This record gives sequence, C-alpha cells and structure tokens, in this order.
Amino acid sequence: MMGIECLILIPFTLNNRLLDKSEKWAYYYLISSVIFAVGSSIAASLFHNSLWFTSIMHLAQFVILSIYYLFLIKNPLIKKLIRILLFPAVIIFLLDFFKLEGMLTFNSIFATIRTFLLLCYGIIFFIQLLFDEDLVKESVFINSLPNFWFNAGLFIYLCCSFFDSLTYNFFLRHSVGDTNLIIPSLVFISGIIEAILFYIGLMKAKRQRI
Amino acid sequence: MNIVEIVVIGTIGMLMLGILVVILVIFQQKQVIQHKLALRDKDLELQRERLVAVLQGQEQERKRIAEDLHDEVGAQLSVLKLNLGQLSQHLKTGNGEAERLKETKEFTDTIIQHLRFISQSLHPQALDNLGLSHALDSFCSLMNKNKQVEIAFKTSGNGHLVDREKALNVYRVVQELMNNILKHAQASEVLITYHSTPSLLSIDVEDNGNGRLLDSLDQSRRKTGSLGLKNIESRLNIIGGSINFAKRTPTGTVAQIRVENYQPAIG
Repeated sequence: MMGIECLILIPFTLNNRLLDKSEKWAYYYLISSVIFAVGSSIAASLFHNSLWFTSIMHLAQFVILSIYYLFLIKNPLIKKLIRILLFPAVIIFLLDFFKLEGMLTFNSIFATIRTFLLLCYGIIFFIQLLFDEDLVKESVFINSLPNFWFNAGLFIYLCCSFFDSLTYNFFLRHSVGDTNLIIPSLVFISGIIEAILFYIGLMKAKRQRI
Repeated sequence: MNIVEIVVIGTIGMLMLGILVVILVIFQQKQVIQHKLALRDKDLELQRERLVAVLQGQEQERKRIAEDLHDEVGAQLSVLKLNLGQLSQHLKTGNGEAERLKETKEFTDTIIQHLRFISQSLHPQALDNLGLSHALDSFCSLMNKNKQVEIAFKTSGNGHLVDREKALNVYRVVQELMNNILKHAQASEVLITYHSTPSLLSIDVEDNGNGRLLDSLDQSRRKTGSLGLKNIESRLNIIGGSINFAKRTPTGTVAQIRVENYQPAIG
C-alpha cells in the first residue's frame, strides 16, 4: 500500500492550501498512513515484528479521524460523544496493548472497536448530508463536496477492513494456508478505492476554490 | 464452510455494502434535490400564471375604461363642441360673448385631445387594428403632441406579424420606458428603432438625457409598490424577451428590447 499512499500524498501536498480545516485532517490522515506504511517496514526489518507499531498507529489514526469527524458532524450531542469516546478507546487500547493481547501481536480488540466506531461516524456523516436542509435549499449535490468523497473513501476502506481487524489476530495464531491471502488482497483493493475517492475529493476541493 | 471462507465472504459483503451505501447516498440526495427543484419550478410556473392573469385582468379593465372614455365621454364632448360651433353662429352681439365661446370651444378641443391621449395610453386601439409597429408610431405621435421631448420613430423590416399578447407587453414596456425617460432622464430627443427579422424582434429606445434612466428604474424597483424595472422585467419574462441597458455616446441611455419567436402561432 505504501506506493499508493505516497502517490496520493503528492497532489494533496501540492494543493494543501486549498483544503479547509476539516479537509486538512483528511490530509493528516494520509500523512499518518504514509508514516504507518514506512514505519511498519522499518520496524519489521529492525525488530522482526511491526505489530506493536501497527497498534500505535491505529490509535494515532483513530485520534486523527475522530478530530476529522468532530469538524464534520454538526450535531452537538454526537460531537460530545465523539470527544468522550476518545478516552474509553485509549483505555481499551492500553488494556489490549499491555494486558489482553499484548504488544507483539495484532490488537484485534482495539482495532475492531476503532473500525466500528469510525464506521458509525461515517454513517452519521452520510445521514447528516442526506438531511442537510442547507444543501437541499441551495441545490448542492453532495458529490460536489470534498468531504463526502473523503468520507466515502474511508467508509469503503473501513467496511472492508472490519472483518480483517476482527480476525487478523486469530489468523496469526492459527495458520490457515494460502486462502487467507484473499483478505489482505481485498483490503488492498479497498485501499486503492479509498485513494481514488480521496483524489476525487481533492479535485472537488480544487474546483470549488479555484 | 470454514472460518476463512466466512471471513472472505463477510469482507466481500462489507466491501459491497460500503460501495452500495456510497452510491445510494449520492442517488438519494440527488433525488431529493431534483424533487425540490421540480417543486420550485412548479411554484415559479404558478406565479407566472398568476402574474399573467393579473396583467390580463388589468389590460381588460384598461380596455373597458378606454372604450368608455372614447365612446361615451369623447362622443359627448364632440356633441358639446358641435353645439358650441352652432351657438357661435347665432351670437352676433359684440359684448365679448363670441370671444368667450371661441375660448370655450378651444378648451373643449384640448379636453378632447387629452381624452384621446388618455384613452390611447390606456388601451392602444392601433395595436389591435394596425399592429405593433404602427401602434408605437402612433404612440410617438401622441407623445410628441403632449410633451416637450421630440420623439422619433424609425422602422425597418416590419412586415412580420407580432403575437397579440407579446405586442401588448412590448408596447407597455416601451410606454414604461418612455415614462421613465420623461420623468428622470432630462432628455430632449428620443429615438425608437423598430426592427424585425422572422425570428427576432428588436426595439431600441435611445435618449440623449443624463444617462440616469437605469438608476431611476432600479430605484423604483426597490420602492415598495413601485413597479418600474420589475414591471418591465416581468412583462418581458412572460413573453420570453429580454432587455439590456447601455450607455449611449455622447450622452444618454440605450435600452435594447429583444423578443425571440414573437410571431403568432399558426393554427
């Protein structure tokens, strides 16, 4: 995935000035993805285990995306909930990392909860867009909004990686042969879709502001 | 089915679901907006129909008043004028009565002329009988008699018939423009140029005034109850026409009225 992440980061960096506050957090998410990919390779080659780094990056990305959705979601109650949920998520991460599954393996518990929460935020944002009176009044189609595309990219990627997060640890412990290569391939495909949708979002931002 | 197969199917299902949700969200919102736009269009159409009905009612009422004035009051004044003429023949005394009678007769003439002007302004008979070009020409002649401004009318390619409703609306627009020129432009000369091709009717109203015609129309639009430019735009909107204002060199304003497909529908 590293190549794609770096590739998508180039146009985002070049057009960084065109992004608004919320869109900047989508950009930070992309930067974190590159750090994730590069850091994992380095950690794997240095320590022969990069899963501790994966868990840390999952937490970092969860925080970044929570802030991203804090900017996007208008409902004050849900905003408050997103803020509050950051704390139990960190506690679950710490428990999973140090106690439940350990730092040298994939933290499925935290990864699944994180993916589930982010999927919920994504759905809430979709619903918000569907019922946004301002958009309907001004006849703004949501496919002209950059954040719609960023959210769509994230949503598809998270949908696909949900089962992966849930079962990754299990598959690490129980070898299931070549068939388990299908799941990473599917996650890889969803990652490509995510990158394409992020790029579309960037193009929409560009069109809006130039 | 082993656990790997379940997870693979689950992942594929989730991927499909994700894509489906995104597509559904796009289409759903598109439909909502299209529905709202359709409702707005319907509302606009309804407003337009109401406006047409109001204007038609107004025109009918004007026509009725114009006919009453012309046929009844006008006829009575003409009888009065005749009577005065007969009376003057019988008056032979030299006490100034003949002089006064002559003055009264002239005054009656002026009233008849004013009445004709009002009647003509209320409903241009020439529009029904001779068409838009002649009605505008006649309107210019009438205005020349009553006002200080010299109004010239030039025409070319006027062999094409104009739809009655469109002709009436264009006539009213020119009338409104002339009223505003007289009120605000401080012009001494006005030129109305009428030109028609089979698909486009063009009327230019040029004045040599202070160039403040558009400002005055715009101001009247902002005033509550004042029609001005709003009236002009509504009328042109109904008949699918347009108006454009430009500065005239060296002084004044040019109002360009354009109406496409202005000819009456066949059949």
